[in-house]
Amino acid sequence: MRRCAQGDHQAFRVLYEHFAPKMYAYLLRFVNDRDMAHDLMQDGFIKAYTSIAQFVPRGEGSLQSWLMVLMRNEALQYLRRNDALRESMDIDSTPLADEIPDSEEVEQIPSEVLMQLLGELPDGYRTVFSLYVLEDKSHREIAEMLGIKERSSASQLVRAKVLLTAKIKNWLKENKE
Amino acid sequence: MKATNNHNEPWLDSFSQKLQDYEEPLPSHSWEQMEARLQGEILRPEKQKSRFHLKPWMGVAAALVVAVFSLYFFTQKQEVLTSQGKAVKSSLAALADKPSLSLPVNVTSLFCEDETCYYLDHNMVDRARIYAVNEGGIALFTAKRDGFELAGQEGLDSALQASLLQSLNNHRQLFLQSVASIFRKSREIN
Repeated sequence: MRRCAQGDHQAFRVLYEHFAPKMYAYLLRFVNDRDMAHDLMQDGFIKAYTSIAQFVPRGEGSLQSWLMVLMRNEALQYLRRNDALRESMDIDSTPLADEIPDSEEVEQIPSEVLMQLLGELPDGYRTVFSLYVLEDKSHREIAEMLGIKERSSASQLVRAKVLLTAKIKNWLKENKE
Repeated sequence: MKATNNHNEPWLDSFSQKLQDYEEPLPSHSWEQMEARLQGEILRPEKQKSRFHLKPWMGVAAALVVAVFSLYFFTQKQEVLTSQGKAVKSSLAALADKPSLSLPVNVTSLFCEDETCYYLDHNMVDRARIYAVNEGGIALFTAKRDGFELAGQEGLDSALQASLLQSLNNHRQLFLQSVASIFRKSREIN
């Protein structure tokens, strides 16, 4: 960390190679365009590089959490600039799944498939779902982050779950032995 | 144990746990790209905290100096803009006579220097393709790992081709950064 703060590229390379695959996956939760996610990740790492001197370690995992906040800011700024957070589907046009999947079913699906199914959701749904389900944020926090109403966050989450349920059921059906 | 947002829906808990430590393989040359961008960052002068305390007369003197220099740089900038405008105009006029190697529709002028304008082809997303156009003709360059390479030309003698290539390679860092930034912006627009 000290060598990174002094502008040592090799030290920063170690940090980059350790955290970048995780940050790339993290950005793909928000931006379903691999090139763009990669660009945004590098923007985030440049911010980390230029401000690492101000980072104060607060125990294990604090560097990763700090990087994730930087990456999330990059992703949300990008989505807001592109007006991608508006609700993009009427609730009536959302296909309904017969039943929700059980946790054993979800556990047998490979992680990369779950990422792919998540990536197929509209930007707004995926972002709300990621923040609520994967990061345990409240609708109030999500509304503040995305500049939307709490009600909109809640309704996008419902639709995201319905769509994802249908996609999971579909995948399980197609991949049944 | 703290209740999470997913405590009523176990499938969401499983979903969340499966993605908790998920990592995605990086594209090839990811670090090399990152390093090139970092080089650009460290070339920028760092802001340093002032060790001097300003006195009122120093402020007035500084304002006067700034005013004089601003006027000077404003007139200089106007001259640069006029010469760039001239270069764009003459390079576009040159294209009218070169139908076989004309510029694609999605191009952005990167910059003009010595009556030559460098245009970036937006359509190429994996590899930068840059057109150099001046009154003499037009040349097409592609970006390689160790520099740019001439891929086609019309109306340029070998000396001019070599000088364009030299100029392009001299500004390689600037071009690669501009290319990355323009691709990003064009993707945002699209």
